[in-house]
Amino acid sequence: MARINDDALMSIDFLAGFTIFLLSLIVAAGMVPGMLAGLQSATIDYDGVAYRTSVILAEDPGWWFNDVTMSGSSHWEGERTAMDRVERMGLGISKRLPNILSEGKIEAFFSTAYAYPDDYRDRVFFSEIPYSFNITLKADDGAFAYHLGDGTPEGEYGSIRRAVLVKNASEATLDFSNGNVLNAYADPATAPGATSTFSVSLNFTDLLAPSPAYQVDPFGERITIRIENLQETRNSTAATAFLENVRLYRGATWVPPVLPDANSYLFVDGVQKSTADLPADVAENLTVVLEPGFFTGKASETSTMDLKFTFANSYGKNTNITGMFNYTTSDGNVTMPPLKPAVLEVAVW
Amino acid sequence: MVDDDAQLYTMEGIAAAFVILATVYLVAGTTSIYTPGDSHITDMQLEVLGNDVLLVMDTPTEEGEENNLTRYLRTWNTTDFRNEFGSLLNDRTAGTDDTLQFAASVSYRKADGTVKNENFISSERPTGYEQAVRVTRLITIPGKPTGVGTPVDFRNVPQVVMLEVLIWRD
Repeated sequence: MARINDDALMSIDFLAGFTIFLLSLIVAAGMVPGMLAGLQSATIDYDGVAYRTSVILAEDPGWWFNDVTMSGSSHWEGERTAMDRVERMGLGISKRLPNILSEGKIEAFFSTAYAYPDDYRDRVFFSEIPYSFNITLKADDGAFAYHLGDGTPEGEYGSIRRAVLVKNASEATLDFSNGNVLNAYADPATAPGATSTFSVSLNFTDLLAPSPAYQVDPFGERITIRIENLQETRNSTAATAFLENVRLYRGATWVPPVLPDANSYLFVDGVQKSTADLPADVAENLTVVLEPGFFTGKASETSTMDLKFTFANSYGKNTNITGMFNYTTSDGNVTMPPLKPAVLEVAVW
Repeated sequence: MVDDDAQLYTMEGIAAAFVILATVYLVAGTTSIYTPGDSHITDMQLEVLGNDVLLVMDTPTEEGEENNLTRYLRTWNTTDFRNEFGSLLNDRTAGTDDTLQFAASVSYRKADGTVKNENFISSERPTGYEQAVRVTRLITIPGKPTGVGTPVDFRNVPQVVMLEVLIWRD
């Protein structure tokens, strides 16, 4: 044979060339993540988390869920004891009205009821990564300023600013030095009977009828009832009035417990009283504060609830206060503050 | 016959491979993929804030009242609009106020059916080179605006106009 076939050598050639090609391919493929590294910089992540958090805070009303009764609502601000039931802490008054925040939720959010920072990470950030954060809410006119978290760091952090409106709670003031109030809710001319009762009626159907931005929401807002200058209602010789108790009624049914309970306060002449302090002498002023959550489990959206003040009359201690005051925004004695512009800032790092 | 052709080919192949590898490495190193996520975060922040401000101005603070945005447009009140928009846009929770600038314009339909865009007010004169974002809101006004400076070709009928605000960081 004159010629030796060299096919085998060609095949080694091919093997070497193909190996080099594969190595090049592997090296080239290895460069791809490096090219994309610029896409996942930390600031963008922080900015995204800040934006997401601001949406939960400004546009979401939050969520509260009771595993035992399997009932949930957006009124998480009323929870005082079982904090695990608060699943999400949005500050909005309604999911239909973004950027209108509830004063009750703001106070609950920035209160000491929640442990910083873990409770907030679970309920606002929803992330495996333990972000540090700073949340600030300040009224444009300086009426309030709330802070949560540490100061922002020197290095990189993500942040966002939102313009919001804050809805404040309503309150009723019955000043008996005002002749109209005296005529309507007291009868000083006649001698008082053994007891005097005065009630404040809250018709939930009427109160909840307007848009959530302008309604009185007894479930989510503080309700304050001030009775001032009660001495005007006393009959001649009396020096004080004698408050027996304050109770909540639905129709004719008493809804326990006696006020003040965990979600309500009673102030007599400016001094806070507990149930043990009752009955008590009232010289001039009486204030009842019903915190958000007071009506949870006691009333429904269509209830009419009456807050009944019972005074015992005796010689030297009496009052002629009487009748029923209807707590409604159209009544001149009830003040409903306008929505207040504020700015919400969230920083995350 | 055994020759060294293959050897030569292999070494050329290795050399060529290194040349290709070096080229690919250089090309890959100098390429950066530009995605919307890179720059649009800051745009998104301005847009969110601008929409918030318009929403706040479009919400009456008390039930049954007219909102400020409608009132400013109805009366062509550019001064109050500039003050309120500027303060809501730049107010911060701490430290000095922000330095965002804006230019507002109004689009309305003329009697001949064409849409005209008229300048409303700006916080500073835009040069055209700003990296601005645009936020808009539709506003219903009861008739031709009444204030000084109202464009003459406004129809005097109830109508929906579009307020367009460009916002940029100074």
